[in-house]
Amino acid sequence: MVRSKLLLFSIILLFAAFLLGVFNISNWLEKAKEGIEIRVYIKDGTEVSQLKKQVSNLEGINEVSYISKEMALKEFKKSYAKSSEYLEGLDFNPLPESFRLSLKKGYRTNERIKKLVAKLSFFEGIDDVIYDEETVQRLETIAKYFPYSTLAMGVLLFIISLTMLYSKASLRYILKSNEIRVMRFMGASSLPIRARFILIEFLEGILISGVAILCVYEIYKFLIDQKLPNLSFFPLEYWVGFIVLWTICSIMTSCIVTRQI
Amino acid sequence: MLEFNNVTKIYKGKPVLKNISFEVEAGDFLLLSGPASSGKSTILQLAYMDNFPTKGIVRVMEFYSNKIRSRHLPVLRRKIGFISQEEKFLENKTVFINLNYVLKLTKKRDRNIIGGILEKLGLHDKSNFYPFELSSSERQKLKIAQALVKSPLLLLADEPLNNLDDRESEEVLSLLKDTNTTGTTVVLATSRENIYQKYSTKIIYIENGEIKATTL
Repeated sequence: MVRSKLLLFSIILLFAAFLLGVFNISNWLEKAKEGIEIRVYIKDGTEVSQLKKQVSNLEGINEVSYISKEMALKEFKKSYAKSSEYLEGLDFNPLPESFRLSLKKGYRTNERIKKLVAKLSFFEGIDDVIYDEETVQRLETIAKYFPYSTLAMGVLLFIISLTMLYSKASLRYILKSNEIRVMRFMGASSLPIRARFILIEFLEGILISGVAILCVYEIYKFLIDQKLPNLSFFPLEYWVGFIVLWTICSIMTSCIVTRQI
Repeated sequence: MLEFNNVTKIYKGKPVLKNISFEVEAGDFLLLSGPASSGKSTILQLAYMDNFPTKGIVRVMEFYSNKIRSRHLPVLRRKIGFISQEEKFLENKTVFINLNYVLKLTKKRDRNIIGGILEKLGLHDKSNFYPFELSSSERQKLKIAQALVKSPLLLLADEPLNNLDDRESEEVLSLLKDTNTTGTTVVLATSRENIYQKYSTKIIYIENGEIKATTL
């Protein structure tokens, strides 16, 4: 029985760790998508405010940030601080003015960005439009297959966990079957016997899933201490939901196991 | 109290009881006698509704074997004490807890009943023992105590003197008679009818699943 509980705990712990991984990868993907931007280089002598207004009115544009020549140079210097030879001999600022465009949620796909770039290139006053196509494509591929692979893995882990849960409840029933038989023989109704059995499974469900969440939290804290970037833990409703889910599963399996009493 | 009406019981194609009919009135002390495997234990199991007839009807108080629902069985069993040949103990619970469990089922709160029965059976110093720590005669007495603690309306006893010596047998017999005197109907199955004859008010002799003789 102890081995069965430990095995169940291990699989639920694995499931919780898997969910935390999925949660963090999803967050990372979302942030990476938010970071997709289009750089629009402006021809010298263009009326910037007029152009900014036109660009802002385009469908799918979230925000338009103006980067002046000075800001561009500052950014350049910051980016290439270690390779100062690039800046040697420069007695003027060769960098153009530009806009940095961030996109609305549904417009961060390669196909839509391409359409936007095509529209922008027809604007008067725009010299060049660039974006990191390779990164966008890679993100798109990950975003396309990530839900399916995690869903498949999640369903598999869930089924294994449910099987373990059912086995544990069945084992308890087998171990208690003689006691149950005696109780029934003596005149006990099935309801109190089932209720007691279900109550124990319910409490164990809370305990095992609660301890699993606690362990995953400790793992998370350890990883944060190891300076792993941008990891985050489940919000309250997620881990409460996890415990509730396992508690419900525990109750349901014990109801199934004890249906013959 | 108890009525068997043309009851036949077939186990694995073999008839164990053949068209048995009899009636027991409240307060009776019925002796079911006959050789081993004659069907006596089956009659008690049918009366406890731990088993059901293949044909015919068994009536116990207001419960009929052909109409009873599984949810009514506990209600019936709380009114019947059954000393079966099988041991039905909660092995991981003490003697006292075993008896208290049965007492609680009957919704009786007076725990002194347990002490009184243990005293009469000579088990008073064993109340904190686990069943597996008891001797065979003490286990037999525990079975009797389980049945009596219910203060049953009907007491079914299947070879209640098994594993008991003469002195213990006498004590138990006297206890069964006292129980009968206080209004409990007793149905006792045995193959040693001579021991019980003086206590019984009625005797049914069974052989090969048929009633061969009766004093009814």
